[in-house]
Formats: sequence, C-alpha cells, structure tokens
Amino acid sequence: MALKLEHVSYVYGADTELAVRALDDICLEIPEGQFIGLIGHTGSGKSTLVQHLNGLIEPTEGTITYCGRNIWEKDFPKKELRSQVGLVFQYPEHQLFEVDVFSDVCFGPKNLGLPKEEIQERAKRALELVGIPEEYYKQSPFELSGGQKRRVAIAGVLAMQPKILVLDEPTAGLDPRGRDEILSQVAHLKKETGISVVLVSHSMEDVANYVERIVVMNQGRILYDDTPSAVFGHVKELEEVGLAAPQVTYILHRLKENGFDVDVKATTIDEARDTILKAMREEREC
Amino acid sequence: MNIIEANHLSYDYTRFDEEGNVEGKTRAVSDVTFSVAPGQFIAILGHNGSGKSTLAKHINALLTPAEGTMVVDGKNTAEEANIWDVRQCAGMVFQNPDNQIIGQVVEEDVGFGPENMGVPTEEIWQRVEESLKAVGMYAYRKHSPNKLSGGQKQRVSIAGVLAMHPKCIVMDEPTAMLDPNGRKDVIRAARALNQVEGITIILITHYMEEVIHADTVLVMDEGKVVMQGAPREIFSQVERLKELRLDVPQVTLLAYELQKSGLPLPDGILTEQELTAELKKLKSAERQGDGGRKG
Repeated sequence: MALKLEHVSYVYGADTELAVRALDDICLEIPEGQFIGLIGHTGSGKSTLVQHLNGLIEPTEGTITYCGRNIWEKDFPKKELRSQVGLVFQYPEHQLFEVDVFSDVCFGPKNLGLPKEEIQERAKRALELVGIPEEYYKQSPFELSGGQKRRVAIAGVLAMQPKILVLDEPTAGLDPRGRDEILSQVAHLKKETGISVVLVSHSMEDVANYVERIVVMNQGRILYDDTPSAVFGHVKELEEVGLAAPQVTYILHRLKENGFDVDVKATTIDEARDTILKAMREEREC
Repeated sequence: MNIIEANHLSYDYTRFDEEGNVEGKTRAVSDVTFSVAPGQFIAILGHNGSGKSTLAKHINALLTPAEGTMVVDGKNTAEEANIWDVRQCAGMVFQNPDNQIIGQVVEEDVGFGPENMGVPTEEIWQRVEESLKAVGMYAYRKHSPNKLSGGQKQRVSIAGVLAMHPKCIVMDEPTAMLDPNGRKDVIRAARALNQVEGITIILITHYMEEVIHADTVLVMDEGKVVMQGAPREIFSQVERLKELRLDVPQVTLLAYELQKSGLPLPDGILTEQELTAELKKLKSAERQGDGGRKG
C-alpha cells in the first residue's frame, strides 16, 4: 500500500526566466502505519512535496507510484487516490461551510457516491475519532472553538477513510492545550486505524513527542530521513538550515558540557527527566 | 504617567440572527483593570477565546469599551477626536505578515505609514532607514516583500509600524505562522526595540518561551485577567496554568518533573542556564555530603 516517490523534481515556471526548482531529486517512501514528521523552514519545499502526494501537481521529473502503479498513468483512478491520501491544509477550519457539523463531515463521502447509511456511519466514526461528541452534531460549525473547528475539518477528511493522512501544520495558532488535544487525537487515530500520518510542522517539540520518523527538507532536497533522536543529534546542521532541536535537547547538551553523564539523544521531557535522574543517581553512588 | 491604563474595561460582541436582528451579547472582556508604565515589556497569555485579542484591539482604538475606560498616553480612546493620536502612539502588528504588507518594495512598504501621516519626504526616508536597521532588515530594503521568508516579512511589518514613531507596539501572535528561526528573529527584534529604543511592547503569544524576558505577564481566562506577575511567579504555577489550557516553557516543565521525582530544585526555573546551575549545585552538594560521611 506504499506511496513511493522516485527521483521527483518539480520546477515552478519551467521554461521561463523565473524558473524555480522547488523539489530536487526527492526519493521518499511512505509505508503503511507510520507516523512521519516533515520539517523544513519556510520555502524549503514542504508544501510543494505535500501537493505531490495526492496528485495535485505533476512532477517535472521522476515518478510517483501508489501500490506499485504510476499515479500519472493515463487511466489511473485519480479520484480514488485523493480519497486514499487525505490532505488537511493549513487552517482547514476556513473550509467549513455546511449548516451543521454533521453535514459538513458528510460532504466528502457524499461526493464519493456512497449509500446514505454508509455516509452517516462514516461521518459518525470520523467525529468519534477526533473526539467530537454527539451533542455537537447539529450545531453550526462556526459556533465552535478554534480547536473544535479544526477537529471537525480533520473529521471531514477522515470520513473519506484515507490510508495516508497528511496534516499541514495542524496546530498553528492553537493554544497549548488545543495543540496537545489535536496531536494526541491524531496519535490515537493512527493507533486505532493503522493509517499512516504525515505531520508537517514548525514545532520541533511536537514532532519529537509524536513521530517515529523525521524527514527534513532544505532547498528542495531531503537533508535527513531518520529517527527523531538521530535527526536531532545534528543540532548545528539543523540550525544552519533555519531549524532547531527541541529545547530539551539543548538542555542535555549543556548539561553534558558541564560534566553531567546524560544521554543527549533524549528528545522528549520524559526521556530527559529519566536520563538526568539516572546521571544524578550514578553520581550519588560512585 | 502610565502609557496604558485600562479601568474596569468590558466589551461585548453582539450576535445577530439571519435577519440581522440582535440575538444577544457575548462578553469578551470583563472588568479588566491594568496599567503599563512607559518602556515596559508586557506579555499576555490565554487560551483561544480568552479575550486577549479583543483586549489588545482596545489599545489602539480598533475597539472601544462597552463599559469602563481605556486611556492611552493620557487620551481616552472612546473620544472620536483622540483616535489619530491614539493610533499614532500605539501601533499594532498582527499574526499573518501577508495581510499587512502592501508595498512592492520593502522600503516603500515601510514608508507607507509615515507618508500617510504627511511626514515630509526627506524625513520619511530617514525613518525608513532607521526602522529597517532597528529590525535588521536594512540589507533587504530594495527587495520585493514576496520573496522574503515569514520571519523577514514580519520584521518588515514591524518596521512599518516603527516608522510611524509609536511609543508602544502591540503584537498579536506575531510568531504563530513562523518557523523557529523566524520566531527567534522577531522576538529578538521586539526585545531590541524595547531595550534600545525604550518602546513599550505588548506581546500576545501561545509560545511560553517567548515571554520569559517580559517584565510582567498577564494571563487571561473568560475575558478576565486571572493571573498577573513576573514570569517566574507565573510559571511556578504549572498546574494552575494547565487548568487554564496553557503550558510552561519546556525547561520549566522539565525542572518541575525532576522536582516531582524528588530532586530538590527551586520553583519557576526559566532558562537552560538556570537549570544547569541548579543541577550543578545539587551535584556538588552530593559530593560534599559524601565527603562528610567518609570523613
């Protein structure tokens, strides 16, 4: 079920003087059931890459295959691809439009031409997955809080039952609790349904807390593609390309320089706490 | 004299039904009293919908109070005649830089404000130069704003406000849409304006690390100011902040977790340096303790 990009390049305004190479020789595989973080500074090519994943734009060079088939083949079912690779754009709540929450989530599956019962079944399940209780179903989506609106918008994409869910900065502008709520719902959803999630984010802390693999983009190329602790081990290189490591990583490096025997690979608060406690305990024992 | 004085300020948003009849009112800001001295750096925290932005919009008279008063630089914002003075005194920077930039060239964009104020041409150029230098964007003065990164655009927006020579700048989530470097640059520019130029800064944000250098932090909930104090006082109350849907900086949270696991650390650690210093103290205390026992 994997989505595979092989030597994909994309040039904006090809054959003009303003040609810009936004993607340069990208090789990337998204297998089933993985939680992937996609990071890179503004203009590094993340959004262009994301739009390739469900065939919104066609690569200038290279091929993209889904389940082994080239998605730009003439008779490839594009509509099916778009329901299998669900894209949630930035500020998705701006795309809510129906009179009530439930109808809004039904819109996608309705367009797939499914029977009524299945549409409602799917909408219910999607809303459950993002933690929107039934008493909100008949409310106008515009009366909800920012975080709730965003979860309804995500449910709209989930109701299409995608195999790969791509979220472009799902937490921008939310308060810390709203941030945690969305991300833990997504992690829960991934566990429940076994789908793959691609999280595009500027928050290194969020990425460190949730994903199992990080892809770092810089100038249209993939700079790193590895586990969080391996990627955040390259603190200097990340800073050079306009990124950073999570704050705990900096703390651990500082402690190490000051003679503490801590593991600098820790990237979350819990891991950092454990390695510091261990170092302090060993200190006591020797 | 205080530069900002809010006295029992309340504000209601009116809800309308489909025919445009008044359906009811929602109180967004409720009985808020606070004052800011010139040159202070104030941060406002609060979850989505807590009333932060509504309060901020009162500072440059985009909104005027339903009850109570807002006085900026000695002028009551509710009086029509004061509006221009108030807006010149208090500039505002919003979340999305793309919505705030209008010029085709960076220096033209920055010159837009003073030009509208009728500043003589020569002085406009002088102000543009100073403002762009203050935010570290002078090298880009001939560039097109479209080609800049988010953080650079946001600094151009700030320069645009700066060129109007405000005494105070209100920044409403200026870093929400930026990458880590862009965020750092914008916050650094805000602190420089505060410390070097003495401009009063009101910063609204959801990023807790950005407020640790503020003089005072206000925390809002349901339209009220529910906590007020120095960052250290505010961030020592981890549980209370979580109740308010907020957070503390990662280093503070780590210190708090270590404390819960039994390390005797003080409350409200705000920086990496502080945490390192405190852990070092603990370590040497351990060693001395051991030495004592052995001796």
